[in-house]
Amino acid sequence: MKRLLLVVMVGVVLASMSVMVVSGAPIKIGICQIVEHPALDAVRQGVIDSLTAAGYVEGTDVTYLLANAQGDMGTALSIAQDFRAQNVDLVVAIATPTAQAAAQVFAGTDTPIIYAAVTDPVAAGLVMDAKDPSENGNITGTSDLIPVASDIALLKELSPKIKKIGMVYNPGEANSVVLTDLAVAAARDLGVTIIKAVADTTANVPIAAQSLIGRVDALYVTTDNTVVSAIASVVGAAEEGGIPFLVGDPTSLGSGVTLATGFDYYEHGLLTGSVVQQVLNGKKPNEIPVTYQSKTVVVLDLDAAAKLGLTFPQSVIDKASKVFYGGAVWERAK
Amino acid sequence: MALILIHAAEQGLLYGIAALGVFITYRILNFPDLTVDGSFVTGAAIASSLLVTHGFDPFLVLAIAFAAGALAGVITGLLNTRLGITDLLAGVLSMIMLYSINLRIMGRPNISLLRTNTIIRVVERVFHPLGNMSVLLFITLIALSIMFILVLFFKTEIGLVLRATGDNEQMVIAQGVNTKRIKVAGLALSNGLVALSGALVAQYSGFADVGMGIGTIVAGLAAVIIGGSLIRSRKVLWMTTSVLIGSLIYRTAVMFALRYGHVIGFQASDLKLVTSLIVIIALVVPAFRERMSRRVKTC
Amino acid sequence: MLRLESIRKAFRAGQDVVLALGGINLALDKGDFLTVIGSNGAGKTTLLNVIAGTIFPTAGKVMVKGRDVTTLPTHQRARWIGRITQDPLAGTAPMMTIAENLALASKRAHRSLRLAITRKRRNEMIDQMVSLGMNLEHRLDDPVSLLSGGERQALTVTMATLAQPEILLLDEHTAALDPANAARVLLLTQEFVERMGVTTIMVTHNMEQALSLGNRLLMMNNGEVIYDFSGEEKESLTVIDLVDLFSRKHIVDDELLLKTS
Repeated sequence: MKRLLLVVMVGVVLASMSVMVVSGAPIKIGICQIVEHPALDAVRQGVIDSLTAAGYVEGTDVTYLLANAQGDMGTALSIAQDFRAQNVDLVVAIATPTAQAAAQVFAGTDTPIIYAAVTDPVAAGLVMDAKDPSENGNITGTSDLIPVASDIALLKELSPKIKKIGMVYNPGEANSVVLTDLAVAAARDLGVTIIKAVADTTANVPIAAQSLIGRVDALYVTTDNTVVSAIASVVGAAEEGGIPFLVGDPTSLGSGVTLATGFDYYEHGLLTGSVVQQVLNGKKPNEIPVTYQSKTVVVLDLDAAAKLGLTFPQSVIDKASKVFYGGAVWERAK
Repeated sequence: MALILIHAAEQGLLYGIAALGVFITYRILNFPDLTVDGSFVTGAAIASSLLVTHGFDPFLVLAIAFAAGALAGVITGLLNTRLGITDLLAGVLSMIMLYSINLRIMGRPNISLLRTNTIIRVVERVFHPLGNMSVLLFITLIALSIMFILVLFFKTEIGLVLRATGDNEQMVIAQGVNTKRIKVAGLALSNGLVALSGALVAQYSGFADVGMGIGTIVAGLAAVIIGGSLIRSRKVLWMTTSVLIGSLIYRTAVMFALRYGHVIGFQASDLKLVTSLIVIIALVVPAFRERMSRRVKTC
Repeated sequence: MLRLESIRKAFRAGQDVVLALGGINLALDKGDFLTVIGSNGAGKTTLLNVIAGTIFPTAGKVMVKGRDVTTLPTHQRARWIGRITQDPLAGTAPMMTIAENLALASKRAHRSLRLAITRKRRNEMIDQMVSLGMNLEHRLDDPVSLLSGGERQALTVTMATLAQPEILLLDEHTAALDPANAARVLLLTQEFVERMGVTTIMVTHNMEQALSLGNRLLMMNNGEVIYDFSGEEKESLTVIDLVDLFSRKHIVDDELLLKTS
């Protein structure tokens, strides 16, 4: 019985390998992400959809190898090595650790690597320079660097009473550290102070959030994967403290956050897809500088604001593209 | 196909060095040591920060990483022997402390080694004619050297005492040995190896990340247990070899799960499930074989 | 060689205080062989524990060769004191080979990074095992767990020899063995103790053993020494005398009576 199972397994393996050999024509694109996460999944879908819309039919023009490192750095490396062993023509690496692994494995080859959702590609060692791509080798991509300065300015706009802003973040996430440092600097320029609370795992987010209540006038969370995963506890802390809460993830509208800014990660995926298309059309990665997403949105939760007794100033409402009111999402009429 | 095996072997041996460290505490000393999730990163942290900011020699960096890991092990040992904290808890406390310490060493959560002169780059340059095999050969050399040095160490007087401490501590005390010191020494050696592994893995992966140590104890135990169930021998040479083999099997299982998991209908997110299944098969096969042969004999 | 001065040991169990040893005074010269008998709970093992350092006395002093070792931890006393317990499995490391166990035993102080088993050492081990007459010289590389209880205890005695102790504590070390092995181990012990002039204390429940071995006999009960015989007085004692002495003190112990042969 055991032997039969073994034979069947070997047979299946050989069959699948032969299939891979026969279909040599389509472009092989390996897409990898560090972890299952709605934002990262949206990026992946955006990339695929943008290519499909551009006329690359899956199966005939292009095949996708999808992989997910499940939060393990060693696995991210194995995935990159697997892509290389399978001779992919292009790699799309979503998030920093996956991008770094791909960059290492494909160093010295011609295979283009397009990274996505990397906040600071220079600090991550992926590229030498953000503006001048000539030294970047075979790597280029899109950055999800959110405009923290305008976020802080937005919070200030809500009320002149907002002088101290509390931030919960994971010091173990490179992207988050970059954004938090930028926020601290921006706050200084705008005349407000940032008070930080660290949460190195999702389990520690509630405690960190609660530790800020009573000491700050507003809460701000950037695109920190750890904290965003536990957003509900931060919402709870903000409600308890009666203070507004801004998060850099617009998909959290309706979860109780007072207002949210940032990118739609599906749009980010479409943007990445366009970079992929540039490379597929012949442009070299070291001719394309880091692509920053520019279309940020502002969304407001009127119900949450009402609970706080807060009225949004007209200037803020003018910026919003969506509001949450009466339990439903309303879009601005075009 | 050959490339996937080369990569599996490279990773298997690199992480195998950490598995040898886990072997020393878990098998030899009977001390379940959770420090390793932290000390693995300590090695990576020290190696990367010294390489990037100070341009140290890659080989020297390995020695320093080992020393740092040994220090972490000493801390756990002192927590246990001097303060009377139980082994599991002492390891956990050290691991938690190391998280902050590692962040301090690195200065930030992630350091890229992509454009730094790492030991891997040196090897690729020096052994260029060997092509794909150069790194594998180097890693094999290092792993086997470490293994043989360990085997030799366990044949020395101190090595024998270390083994006996885990086997019959009362007897060793009655023979005039301060077993507290021996345990601390064992933990130091073990975590030194784990940190060394971390330093090598960081240079191999091209980056050091404060989260890269998560799962070190699990992977190490998997290697020790798989190896131990395949090769049942009390001879030190076989025990250490089995640890490296166990690590190779574990990493190969991950690779195969990645590549062929979808063939059996598994999705990308089922990776850990598939890996565990392969590990279970590896564990069950020798026991199954034994039961079959026993059945034949009684017929 | 060994002196105990007013050793008292009290154990606390909740509210109750048990006096395991109440004011023991003892002096042994080099080469003395003391046998100790007494009913269960008499304090015999506690006495050995205090001498070995496994427990510290509540009061009193333990002196070895004129040196106060009362609060010295066990591993530091092991320089002079060897001990063999009743459990035949406790004296050897089961996962290590006979050769490795022997190698461990012979080093008392500084252990270095030198190879533990050299060719010279191995030949010595073979000789040592040959003299045991149990065919163990062919099994030097077998893990000790494969040996029988009797073989392991014989090995323990050999290991004690190698450590060259000045004081040897034997806690009913043949009690758990079958008669053949018990006799062999006892013979081994006697021969080694005589040859090296080791000061020995042997606890036993076997009155015949207690009488035939050694030059001194101690009877204990309730943590105190009730009789102390030495020299000719000891030699002239018989088992009947001992039983009589016990019953005079109203001590009736089945175990003692059963083990009189």
